[in-house]
Amino acid sequence: VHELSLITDLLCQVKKVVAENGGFTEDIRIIRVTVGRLSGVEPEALRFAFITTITDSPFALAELEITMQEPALHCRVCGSKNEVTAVKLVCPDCGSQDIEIEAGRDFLLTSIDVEEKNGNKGL
Amino acid sequence: MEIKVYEKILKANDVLAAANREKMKSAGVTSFNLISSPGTGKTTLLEKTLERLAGRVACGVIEGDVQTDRDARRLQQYQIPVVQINTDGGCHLDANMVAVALADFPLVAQQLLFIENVGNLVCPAGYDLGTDGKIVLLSVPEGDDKPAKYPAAIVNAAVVVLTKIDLLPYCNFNEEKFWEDIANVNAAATRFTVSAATGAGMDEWIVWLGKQVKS
Repeated sequence: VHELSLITDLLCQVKKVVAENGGFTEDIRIIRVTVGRLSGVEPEALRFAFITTITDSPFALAELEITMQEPALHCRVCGSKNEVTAVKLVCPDCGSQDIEIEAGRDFLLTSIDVEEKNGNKGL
Repeated sequence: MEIKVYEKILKANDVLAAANREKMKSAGVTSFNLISSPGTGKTTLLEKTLERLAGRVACGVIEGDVQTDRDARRLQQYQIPVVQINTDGGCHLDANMVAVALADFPLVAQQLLFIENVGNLVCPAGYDLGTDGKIVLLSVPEGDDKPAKYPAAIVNAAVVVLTKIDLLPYCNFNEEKFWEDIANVNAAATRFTVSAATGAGMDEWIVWLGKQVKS
């Protein structure tokens, strides 16, 4: 599993975004991510890697909030859109296997909470 | 204060993969990312493939392994360009490793480039390398339940190859169920059943590869 390297990439991206918004790494409180069921990323391993990495770092006060995302399909035959389970990527309405996976394959950084302090509006 | 982001974590990898794709495309090379568990027979299938394509299609190989250059040495007898990447513990190839390997690869002279990923059915699924497609290999002795257990690897594969079919009589492997589970996650994948040992199914595989050559 490569969750440790994913956390390194995630924190790198978070640090950059916060700095671009004029904030400080030390003031980050919540990091929200979305994990697609088809991304191959294991949430428990991710959590463990996060805790291990942030200890004694400027991210020490940050929490990781993980939202799991089920696969979302767009059926090319009947046009319907549905959330399904990762083991059966088949249109639940018409049974077609001619589908497009619209969501569920990515590991995304969705938002960051930064604490507001004097002279710093948190951003 | 909340900062809305909505960015892929592997964005940096995707950017490098896009550059690899452009580089290979402009060189007229068709490339494939070979993914499977360790021991499924990626290198053996490559050996038999290179043997059959010799003198007809110019092939190159990028070999990914955690350690050793054993696979690269196995392929050197075919007198084709082979580059070995050692990940030193890393569980997958990423687009940057491939970019480094491509930097001094004689791309223009190639028609087909095979990138053999580290043996692992989980992690390589998350990293686009910039190839034209992913070829996922699963072998008969691994069991017919693997497509259902490892959907992430199969979901966007262009091709699924069932290897070691000469072992069907000795394994409790339900081929019908196997392909049904493949269809449940990826009905569009092109399918092959092969045995590199006996040569069964190799003709169809070679014909298909020949058709993927761009020029």
